[in-house]
Amino acid sequence: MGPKKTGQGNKTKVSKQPSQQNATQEDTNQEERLQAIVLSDSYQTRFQPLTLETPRCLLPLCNTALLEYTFEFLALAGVSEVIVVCCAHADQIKEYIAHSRWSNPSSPFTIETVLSPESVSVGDAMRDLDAKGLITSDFLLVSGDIVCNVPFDKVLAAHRQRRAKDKNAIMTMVLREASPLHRTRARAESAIFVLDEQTNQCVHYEEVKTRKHMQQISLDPEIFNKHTDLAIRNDFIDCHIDICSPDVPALFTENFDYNHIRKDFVHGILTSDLLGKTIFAHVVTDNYAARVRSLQTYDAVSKDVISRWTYPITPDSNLLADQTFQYQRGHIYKEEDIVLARSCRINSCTVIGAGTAVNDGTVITGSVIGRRCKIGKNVSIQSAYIWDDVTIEDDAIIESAIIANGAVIGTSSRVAPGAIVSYNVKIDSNVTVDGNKRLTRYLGDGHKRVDKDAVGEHGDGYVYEDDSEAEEDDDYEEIVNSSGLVYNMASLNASDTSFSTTSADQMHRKTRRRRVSTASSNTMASEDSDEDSFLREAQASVERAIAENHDLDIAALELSTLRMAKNAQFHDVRAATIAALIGRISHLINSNTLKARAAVESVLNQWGPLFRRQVFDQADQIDFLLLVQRDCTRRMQGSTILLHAINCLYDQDILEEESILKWWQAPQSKEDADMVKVGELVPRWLEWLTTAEEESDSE
Amino acid sequence: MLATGAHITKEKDLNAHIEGFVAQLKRRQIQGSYNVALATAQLLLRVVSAARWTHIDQLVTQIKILGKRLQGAQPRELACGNIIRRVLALIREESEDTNGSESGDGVANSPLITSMFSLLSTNDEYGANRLSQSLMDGTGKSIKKDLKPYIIEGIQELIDELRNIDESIASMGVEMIHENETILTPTPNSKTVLKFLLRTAQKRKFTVLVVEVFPNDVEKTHEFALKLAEAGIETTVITDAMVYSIMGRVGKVVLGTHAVLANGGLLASAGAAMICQCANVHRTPVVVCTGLYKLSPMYPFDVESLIEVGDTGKVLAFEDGSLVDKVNVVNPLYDYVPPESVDLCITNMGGYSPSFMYRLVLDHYRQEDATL
Repeated sequence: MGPKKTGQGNKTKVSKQPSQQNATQEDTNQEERLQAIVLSDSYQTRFQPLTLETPRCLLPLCNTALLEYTFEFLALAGVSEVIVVCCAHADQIKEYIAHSRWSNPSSPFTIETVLSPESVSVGDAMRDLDAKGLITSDFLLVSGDIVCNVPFDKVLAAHRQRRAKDKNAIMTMVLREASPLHRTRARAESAIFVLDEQTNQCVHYEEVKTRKHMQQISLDPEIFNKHTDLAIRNDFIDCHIDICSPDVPALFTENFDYNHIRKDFVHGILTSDLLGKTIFAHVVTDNYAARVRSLQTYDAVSKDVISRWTYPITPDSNLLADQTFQYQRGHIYKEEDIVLARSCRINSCTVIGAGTAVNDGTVITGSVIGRRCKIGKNVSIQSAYIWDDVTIEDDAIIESAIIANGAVIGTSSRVAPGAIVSYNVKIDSNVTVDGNKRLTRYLGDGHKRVDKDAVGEHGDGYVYEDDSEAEEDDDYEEIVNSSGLVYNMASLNASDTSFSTTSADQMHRKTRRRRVSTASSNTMASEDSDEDSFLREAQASVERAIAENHDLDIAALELSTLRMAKNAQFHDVRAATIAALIGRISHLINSNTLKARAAVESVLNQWGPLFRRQVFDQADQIDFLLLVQRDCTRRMQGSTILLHAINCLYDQDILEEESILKWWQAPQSKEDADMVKVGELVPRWLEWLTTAEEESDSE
Repeated sequence: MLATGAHITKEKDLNAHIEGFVAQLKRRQIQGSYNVALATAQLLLRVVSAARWTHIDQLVTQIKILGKRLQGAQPRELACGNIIRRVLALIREESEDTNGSESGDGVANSPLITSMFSLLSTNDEYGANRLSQSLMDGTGKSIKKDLKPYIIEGIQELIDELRNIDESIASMGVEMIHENETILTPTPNSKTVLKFLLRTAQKRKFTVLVVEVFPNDVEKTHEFALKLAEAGIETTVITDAMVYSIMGRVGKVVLGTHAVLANGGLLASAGAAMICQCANVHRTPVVVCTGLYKLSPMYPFDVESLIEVGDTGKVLAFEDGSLVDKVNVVNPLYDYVPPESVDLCITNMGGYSPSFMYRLVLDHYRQEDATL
């Protein structure tokens, strides 16, 4: 049974159960059902040139595709429906899944692949999912490259309990505790989490830029008022395993500038005060959770799998049906059908795949060797990752490198630590491949290139240069240094430690003098300029919406995006909207198109509902009225506009009677001559209002 | 047509079920010898009821292939292989029974497997002869009597035996434990030992020392101790390091086990070997409580290949980055306890000396099935 096309365009269903049956299942155990979204793409280029030919989630880790570990984790977690979002190399992933055991009827979950070819970030994928409407309940969001054996029932129960209590707890992040310099932490992507010690609510998230020697983070002083005990932590492995509510994709849609799940989404949600959404962390102190997100973590996670931190997900569990690994003392895993010469030495922490032959005098330590490899005499292999069908000729030396499928390393050649030899590259005899080189034979643009300097006279392949990342990311150097297979300890470790100490210091000081620091002049200055630019832009955006007759929703969305981007207050949003609308009204009156009353009604009846998303409680309404009053002082016929505007918004239920009265009693509404003058018509209206009220009461 | 279609979907269901079971075994979602044994027996019941065969040898090969798959899913869990072998022996016995009665001279040929001493008279050559003989006349007449219900009944009995195993062991407690004796047990994850002690406590008053068995079973130890204490038994939890100093006061060491090997050696939770050695030095008797399903026909030629290596994280905290990077940690879940260290094995068939275990093996398994 091949994949069959269903109505929804590029959505392919591999699950064998008829969808009707699925529907009935959904009804019966809505509570138990758990969806999982697997993002098969990493939206990064760290593994290039390897990922030019294979998607990252299909790269082998200890001779098993990374995706298998993710699915295995989902099976352990009791997931019943998996949706794999494919982007790059989608055909390969679909093919792999269709032929894997996960699409068999015995699979513990149904699996579905969804194409999202245009997405270039997690945010895009989420928006795409939201548009397709595939998400029905709380779901597990993971990437296709995690290795994890955390028993998930407790995490899930905790999340559901929180959700039941508070609908706004939209997300739970699973974080594994680990010391700051742990090998399994991705060095380039460390982050600071500020957690409430009692509830584990995450109140602030800040990404750490190692290279920039970040000295301080700023926290909203509000946080200290709301939470008594805060932990500011930099000791988590964050492998992006999240339990999300269906609100999460919706929020991504609403905020179309969010790309990254952590640095945009989590940071954005936590710093915005309007949404009132909360995010929690679940800190795991035993079991294992990690993500292969750079070459450095590839190395670390491989080592963890070999030394059984991930039990029961170890090579000798033989995840794939055709695997026959057996465990031997010293963490050595051997498949059946291996030829080992009598004098070769296999040292601890080694994995060797079936069909591999190792010749005399060869020493292999702490390495992973794939299937059907031919390894010559007196070869030395140390901490290297050698994939399938690789030929290594006599006397070669390989240290801490990745040699991909089908590569050939010539006699007496040396591959230095950190190098990557991609698919089918041929390296001639007596060549040294430097540690910073990444060799490939990928013919992206069609014509063949050979760098004789790098691969030798009879070799094949060229040095891959990663240009894309250099352009868009100024942290390029940092990423190269810290995400490489061999981590440059000397240059970066120091900065990390110094960072953690200084930041801790800074934060202590910050908490002590938080009142002072928030009032300090330089922050105020920068905020002011931000506000100004926000006012201008927001006003322009509303004016444009009126002029081009946009949809109300779009105008509202645009405003809220701007507000998030500039981190503005609602007060400013209201001011900007009022300025734009009243400007429009007075324009209509001045150009004699309409009479004052008609102008007010035509504009406010169409655009008044914008205020519904800006004005919430009584204080807001009073503030709003003051702003309208202030704005009207600048207009011709200001008092008439004010009167009609109040009347109109009162009719629309945006303003309540009580708040109008309070506004009128407030001293600010009569603080200067202009304000008093513009309000001259109000008392009559108020009189009418109270009498109308009494009449309706007496009736 | 319809009937074959239904048969095919049924077979598909069964295959899916088997695959799911294998995956669960690999994920260690089914763990512990009792659970694995019970699940295996239930699976075999389904397989046999769905199976179709013209000759009994076909069924035997079918089950052998299945057994190999299941064994491969958790190679170091012997209970699975034991149950497969038990069922194979049962099938062979049933087929021999019917063939024997057909050929007429039932008295001479009928196998007296029910008594273990009959094994002295049945040797391999004899069995092989009989098999080839049955093959020869089997092709001609095929099987007149349908064996299926008998085999299914046999497997049902096996499942019942599994379910009641702790009962029959527990009933022997009164003979083993004196009044006011101090018992030490280093295997708190054993249900059998728990029931043994609880049942005995109804008639006797004694003290139990529970060894903590760090790192794999600490939580289970506490649960175990709690259950004993709730039943009114005087219970103390001690650390692993205290065993030697306290051994002088201990009357008996009661051990649960993961598997019993054909030579009488045990695979018990890690640390048990040391405790048994210690008991031997003090001349303290070591008593093992085990169901027969744990008895394996394997010999410990390569002990390491029988011992499961577990989660490293239980020994060393993963968050300690500097150690994780530099230290190789191994966490074996079981220990091999040599037969010399054990004084008595209490099974659901009665108490035996470890040196007698090979006889029980011959009693319950067929030589032909020793390798699946």
